[in-house]
Amino acid sequence: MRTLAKALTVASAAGLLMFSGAPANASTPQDEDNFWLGCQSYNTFKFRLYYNSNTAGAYRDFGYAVGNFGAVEIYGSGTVAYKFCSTGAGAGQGVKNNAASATNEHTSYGACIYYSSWFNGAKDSLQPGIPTPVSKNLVNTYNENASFQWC
Amino acid sequence: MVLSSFRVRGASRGARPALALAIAVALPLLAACGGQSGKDGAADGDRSADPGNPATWVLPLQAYMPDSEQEDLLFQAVEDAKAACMARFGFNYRPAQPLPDFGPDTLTDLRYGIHDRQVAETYGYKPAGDMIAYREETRQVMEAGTLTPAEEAVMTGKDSGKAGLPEGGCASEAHRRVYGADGQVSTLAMDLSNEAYAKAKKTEPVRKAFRSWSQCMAKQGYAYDEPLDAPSDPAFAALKAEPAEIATALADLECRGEYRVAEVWFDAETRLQREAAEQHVQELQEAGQVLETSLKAAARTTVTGS
Repeated sequence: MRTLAKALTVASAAGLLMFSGAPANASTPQDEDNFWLGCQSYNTFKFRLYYNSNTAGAYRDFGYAVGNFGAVEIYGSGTVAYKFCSTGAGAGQGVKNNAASATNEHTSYGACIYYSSWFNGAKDSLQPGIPTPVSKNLVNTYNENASFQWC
Repeated sequence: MVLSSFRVRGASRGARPALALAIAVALPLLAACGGQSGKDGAADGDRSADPGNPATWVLPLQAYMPDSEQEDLLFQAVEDAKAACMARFGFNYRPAQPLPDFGPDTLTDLRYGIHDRQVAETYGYKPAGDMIAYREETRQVMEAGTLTPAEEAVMTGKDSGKAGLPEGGCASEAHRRVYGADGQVSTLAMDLSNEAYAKAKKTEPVRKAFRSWSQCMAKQGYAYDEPLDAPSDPAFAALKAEPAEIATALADLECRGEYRVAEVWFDAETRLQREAAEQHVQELQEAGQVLETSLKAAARTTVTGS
């Protein structure tokens, strides 16, 4: 998808890209938003995972990349797992390795879902949603979805 | 925050790639579809570019998928075509910017797990870079593309009241201009490759490599059944890798190397992909032709903007 610049790798390994503002174990605004807004109807998130195939069953929305659907640090809540929202088959169950379809509503960017955490493993990708949202049953990542990023 | 340190897709090309480069980008796929096929009509898998770096390996079905530069070209072409269409209706649409670069570099990078000791020494199982900064920059890039209601109406073709609006709005026109038709682009090659990936995990050579890897890890005090169980360990939830994660990842790399986990897995997947490519050769070639045509259209679009 992208060409990772060797310079970035070297610079990163040398610690030049260390983020100075966040101590270890801190949650981030993106994790907080994914966690607290993922089931709110007023969120503006463009990516949705469904418990069942063909965009059926319970769902949950995500606005930002997730390295591991099963373990996210949220301030005050410790390490938590994202769960499907409260309506439909699969409601309340964990999202990780438990989704069968997905929808991308973003009109410019694709959505990539990875087999394993931290963007490891094979991936399913959804093209941008032009002119209407694009949905796809997850082929390899059917019940094997562990991480997500815009791509 | 070091937002500017991320390399973005297409950044090296500038906003409008030159025609020569665009054509050069399109050529590898053309060659792959027509010239790199194996004797049975399917392309071969290849670890020869850099045997020690899985990111450089090439799976058979990649012959039918756009590579990263081609994806960049297609992305840029659609955005440029959107802008040209929006301008006809009096809107100054700024093409969506490439996303910051984070995560796997190629289809085979991280496909079988981590492989770079230098990265693991700092980031453990995570990709090189600062994920906090990456997501913040992603947010900014995505929010910069937010449309006003009037723009949205023309972009999507809904309720605009504008005369002469293309069907489905400017977004659809841009998509048609590059891909030739409405609707989703074929995902057949990706879907078949994913099936092969999952099947490969269940083959005996891979199972054996996994068992050996698991035993190797156990000797060093780490209990995981399979290599890709390790990055999913909830103990490694922190965005910045802690010493325990880094130590695990370094031990993992040693065990991976000793039992050639990535090589065995890649070779098993290659065999399965080759079979799938033979079984679906006609559909794949049709999808490849669509992609070839799209790349040519994209090369024209990014030059002319129309």
